Amino acid sequence: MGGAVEKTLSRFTFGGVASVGRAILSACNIVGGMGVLQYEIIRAMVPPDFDYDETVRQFFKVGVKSITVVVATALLTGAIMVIQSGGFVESTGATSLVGWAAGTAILSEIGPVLIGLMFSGRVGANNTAELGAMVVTDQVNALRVLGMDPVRYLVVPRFFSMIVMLVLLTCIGDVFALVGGAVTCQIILQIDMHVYWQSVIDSHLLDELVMGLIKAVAFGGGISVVSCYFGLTVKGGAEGVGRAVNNSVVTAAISIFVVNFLVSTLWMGW
Amino acid sequence: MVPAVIEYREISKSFGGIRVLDGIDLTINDGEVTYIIGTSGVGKSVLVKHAVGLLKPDSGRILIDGDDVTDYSEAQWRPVRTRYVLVFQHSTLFDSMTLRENVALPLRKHGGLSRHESYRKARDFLEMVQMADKGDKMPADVGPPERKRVSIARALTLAPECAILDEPTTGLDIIASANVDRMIDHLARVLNKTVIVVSHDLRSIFGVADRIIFLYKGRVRLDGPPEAFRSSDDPVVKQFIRGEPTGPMEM
Repeated sequence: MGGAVEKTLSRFTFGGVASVGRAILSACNIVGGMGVLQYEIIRAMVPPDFDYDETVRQFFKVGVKSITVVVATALLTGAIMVIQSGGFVESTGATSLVGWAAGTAILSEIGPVLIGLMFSGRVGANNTAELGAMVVTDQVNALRVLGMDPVRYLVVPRFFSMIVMLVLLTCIGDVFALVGGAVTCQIILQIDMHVYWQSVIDSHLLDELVMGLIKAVAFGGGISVVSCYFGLTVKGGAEGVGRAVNNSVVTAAISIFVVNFLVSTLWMGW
Repeated sequence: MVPAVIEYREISKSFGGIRVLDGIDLTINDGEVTYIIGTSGVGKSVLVKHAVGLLKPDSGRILIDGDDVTDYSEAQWRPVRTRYVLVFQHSTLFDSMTLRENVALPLRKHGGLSRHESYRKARDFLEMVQMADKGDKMPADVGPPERKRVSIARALTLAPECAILDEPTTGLDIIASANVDRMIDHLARVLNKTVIVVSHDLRSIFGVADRIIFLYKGRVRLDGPPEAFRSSDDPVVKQFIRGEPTGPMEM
């Protein structure tokens, strides 16, 4: 009896250790794979040899088609920032701080992070699905048998366009978020829009803007590497593509928060 | 003596513990139309994928034009693949591009042509496969036989020395198959290409092949001209030719 219990316990213990070990190995495998892909991207960019057609196609797909989502997200984010700070402003009468509070949060944190998450959900997921479908239908192998490098032809244009477009979308998003804040200020808080704009200008938010754009560069690079990695390593047909999209979105979201933490910490000089 | 273009030396390959190729020794000669045949899952596609570096053998060596390419890196394979081009069983056209853009892509990438020039030249290749009038269509808008023809046209833009066609007539009606046979014949007799065809289609095999390689249980069971195949006394070969469901052949 005692032996049986011991055996069961031992099986549970070793089973648990084995599961943890497998998870760690799998995580190392993914991180290592992404590192190799990142290296191949950099190698493929020297000397720069972009496929013009593919790059333009990606710019359109990644950037132009994301504008509506980004504008909607930004307007609402700006509005929420002003509403959140509204209670404090109303209770203290410090109306001149409303632009500073909203501007700082929008430009340095909320703007790039939320736009990055929306971008990851829309563009990153789509990218993984597209590359995954190309893998399972042998289109990536077709590129290889035509003597072409899939990293140079498929990944580099995506990497480049995601970085450039996320920076531009973040700029657009920042503007619309501030506009959303101004409108909310006027309509809901009954504070004159001029006070809000003056407060934004007086707060000298250039540092916050630059930090936000640096984050956008890092998020764009991260989302492209994550989404391309999961797309190009799809196994197992349509089900595998679904699994890859899921893994890609989750990993990209985690990497956004990790990068955000690292950039903020470095920027603040900690 | 006809020079060898591809040499398989003692090639073995297993997937998940199942040995698909078992010490294959084989030479593909320059200028020949070689048909590789056998039942489904016997390793025909696996064999040809080794010739373009999409698969690496577990053991054995592969020589192309006398060079040992077994341990080539992806970058070393690239120039080889422009001379030895594989057309997959399924069309593998890029579905985000029109048929013309699909054919023009290798012309731009390898031929250094501008977009306009590549489109003009792509039209010539599409004409070769009677698809010039459908160049603006997307792959999803045309049927499988047309997609296969465009895939062959895309491969030919590289002006390869050897074209490897993986089941080019599978799923095609008899007329479309005859068109593909004619194209294979044209490649070999007019354009002087070496052609390797993976096929089950006996009508096509006997009409076009110079040489037949019959694979069975991961090994070469018969290697010879179509007459030798037709007159073979081997019961396995006979069963395959007759398409009999029962016999000595183990499925």
